Amino acid sequence: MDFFEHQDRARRNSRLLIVYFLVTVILIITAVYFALIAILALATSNSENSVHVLDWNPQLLVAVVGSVLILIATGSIYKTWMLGSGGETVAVALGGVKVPANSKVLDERILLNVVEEMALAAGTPVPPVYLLENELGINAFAAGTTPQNAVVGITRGAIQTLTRDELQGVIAHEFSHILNGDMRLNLRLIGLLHGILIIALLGYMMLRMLIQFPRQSSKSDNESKGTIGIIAALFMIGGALVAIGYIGVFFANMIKAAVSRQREFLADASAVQFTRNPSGIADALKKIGGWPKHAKLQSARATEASHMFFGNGVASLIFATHPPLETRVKRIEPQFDGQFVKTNEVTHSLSELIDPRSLSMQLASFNASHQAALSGADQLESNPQYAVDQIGEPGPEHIEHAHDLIDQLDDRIAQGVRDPLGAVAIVYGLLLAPEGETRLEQLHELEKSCDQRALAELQRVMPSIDRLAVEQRLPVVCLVLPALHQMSPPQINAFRLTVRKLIDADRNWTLFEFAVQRFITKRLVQRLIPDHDKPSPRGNLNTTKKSFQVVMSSLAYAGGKSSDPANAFAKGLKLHALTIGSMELLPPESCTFSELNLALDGLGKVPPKTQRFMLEAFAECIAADQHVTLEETEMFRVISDALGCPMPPLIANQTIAGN
Amino acid sequence: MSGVIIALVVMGTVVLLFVFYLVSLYNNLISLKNRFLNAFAQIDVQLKRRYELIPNLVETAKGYMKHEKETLEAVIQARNTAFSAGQQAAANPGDPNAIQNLSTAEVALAGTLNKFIGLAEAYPDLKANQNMLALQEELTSTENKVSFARQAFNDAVASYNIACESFPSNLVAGFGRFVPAKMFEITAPAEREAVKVQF
Repeated sequence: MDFFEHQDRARRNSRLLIVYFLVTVILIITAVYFALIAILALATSNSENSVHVLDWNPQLLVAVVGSVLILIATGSIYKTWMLGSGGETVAVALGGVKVPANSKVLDERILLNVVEEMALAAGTPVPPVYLLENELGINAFAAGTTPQNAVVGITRGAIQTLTRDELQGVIAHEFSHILNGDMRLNLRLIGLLHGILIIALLGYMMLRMLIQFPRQSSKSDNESKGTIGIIAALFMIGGALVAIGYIGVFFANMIKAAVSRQREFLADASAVQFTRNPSGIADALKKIGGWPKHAKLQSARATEASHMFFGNGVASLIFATHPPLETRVKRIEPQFDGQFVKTNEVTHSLSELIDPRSLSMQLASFNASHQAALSGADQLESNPQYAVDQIGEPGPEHIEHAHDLIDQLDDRIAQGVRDPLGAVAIVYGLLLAPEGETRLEQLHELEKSCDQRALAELQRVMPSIDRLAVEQRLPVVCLVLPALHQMSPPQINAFRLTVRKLIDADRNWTLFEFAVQRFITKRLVQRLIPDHDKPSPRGNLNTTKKSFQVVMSSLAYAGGKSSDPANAFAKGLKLHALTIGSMELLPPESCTFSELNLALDGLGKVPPKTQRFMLEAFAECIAADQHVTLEETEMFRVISDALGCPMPPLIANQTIAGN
Repeated sequence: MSGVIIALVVMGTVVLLFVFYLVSLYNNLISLKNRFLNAFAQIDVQLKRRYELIPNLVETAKGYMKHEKETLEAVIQARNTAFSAGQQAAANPGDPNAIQNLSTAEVALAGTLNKFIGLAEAYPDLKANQNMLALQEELTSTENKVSFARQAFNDAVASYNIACESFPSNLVAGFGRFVPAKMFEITAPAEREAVKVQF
């Protein structure tokens, strides 16, 4: 199974879930209807117009259907809406505190380094990391609706007990959830569950009110026996709602657990595949077994989010959202005897800051990783499909490559990317044109409008930025995200405007500039305007085709002066000519910044299988002129990421990556 | 009978929506609070870096500035005061007093540092010392970073305070014991000089 199939399966699972959910809702409606009829029959049994249990009462049915649906929908939509703004909300609700991107505390630094490497290896920007400071069980989670707004969270207990390798295993497991589309599924589960829970909550509230109500009125005269009858009936209705609601929650929880357990096995297997180090994740699981607190979570909110965690956070047999630890370890290490050794806290050492396995590559170092990147571009040239095959499946060689790229960064840049001001300056620096008139113009623009502190910082880091190798530029952009995240909304706005000015300085935008611009609007501005406030264009076949045409044409023009856009466009189309049909290269005027932006948004919504062949066509188009530059490979990664299909760095080590 | 039920369900839904509304106000306050607490963590990292740099700077200057012992001691003194004020503020960035103390200590530190750097200008050998140059450059950069992070913190505090004081979330704030926080402001002339740039 490859990335696209996993995505596809996650979506099918989501749909299946909705079917299960509808069945539960129908059962709830039936149960409420019969409960009400029974209560009515009981209440009216000795009056003249008595209701019989088996009497057909369409009026009541309509009332029940309507009200139950309204209730469940409100509860579900409310919760989904709350969670729709991304992983941050969930992390904060669980009691997470963001780890400052420039933290110098050793164990936090090790954790951040592991996350950075894993993100670069997978080809996604680095997600913000949250620490659940008060949770002493060993656990971790990933939350968000898309890889773009994902966050990673980990408990204090986990960083106290896990070594670097084990942390890497756990983080790889969480990245698998991010890459395989599990997070959206998880959030949807929370939303639906909440809808069902509302029924129980309403019943509970009715009971509470009724218990308090008679006490107040009994002081006056209790004249009518009828009121008491109604109160008794309402009391029963409340009780029935609580019972039905909780039975609903019970089944919903079982569904949740069943879906979740499957995904956990998959994520464990992916973690082994990403790191090629089975002992990392297996040892982490064993440590959970040997730790007195296991993976337990204390937060009251943990129950509803239990299926998002690495280990079983809430003790329960039927509702276990995760397979038993022993089974999980055995799938990774068949010879495991099931004995968990008592876990002790570990003291982290400085040597854990860097990946021990990449130490062996230290001597070869920069030249080697540069060569690897170059031959990755060659690879794309001769076999464009190779890049698409790797999407969503980073391997250990990608982690090592990412590690080397970070390790070789100049000190000033390495520290700058982790600090908000430094990050701002570095992004400005990356956008400056090479020495020449345009750069002078840009600098002039900066002096007029930009923050003096950022300017001072830019002056400091500029020499280092000019020395960056091409394949280091994009990783640097990916690294700055957590630091940029620390800015306040006014700072983000000012930053966005300046970036726009820098890009507009020369009338001609490059794909790199486009990537930076998109990256900033998609990941930073998202924080200012939550997802659900934005209109989402629903793609039909025609708009999808149009979007595809725009992206293809833009790519064809981006090939450079020497290449032939029309030829590149035709080559890209040829691969899937039957599916796509005929299409013309758009004139350059139609391939503007904003058009391309909209087009990429539109393509993010198409089903995974379609995304796959589109990406294949794009690869073909880039490779058409028989000359793929490092920039082009990097930009291809940016485009695939925009489609929600993160691609690992292209390096020539396919022998491992292939299997 | 079904009329009563419908009325009850409608009432229940309205009550439920109202509860949701209150919960979301509360959640909003929590997330705003978390945001400024996080923003302080960011300042804290840079402040610590700065407190680390200062003794090194003084140590390097010691050999050259033999007659300015008092100034050097004053710098160290101010640094130590600011350091402990910083620790207290980091323990609870929501405490207005702690932030106020830190502001005062930082103003004092900036004043003595400024004086020290002004004096150092008079020693050509010291000015040319590579170590001193590197330290000074990093100190300036760190100060810029502190000031940038402080701006983010103040923005976060401002939006939290607005939520605490404006209707209707002030009702929830009173109920949930949310207290307005204090901004971390430094209005010493010294600080503005620290960010002077020439291109």
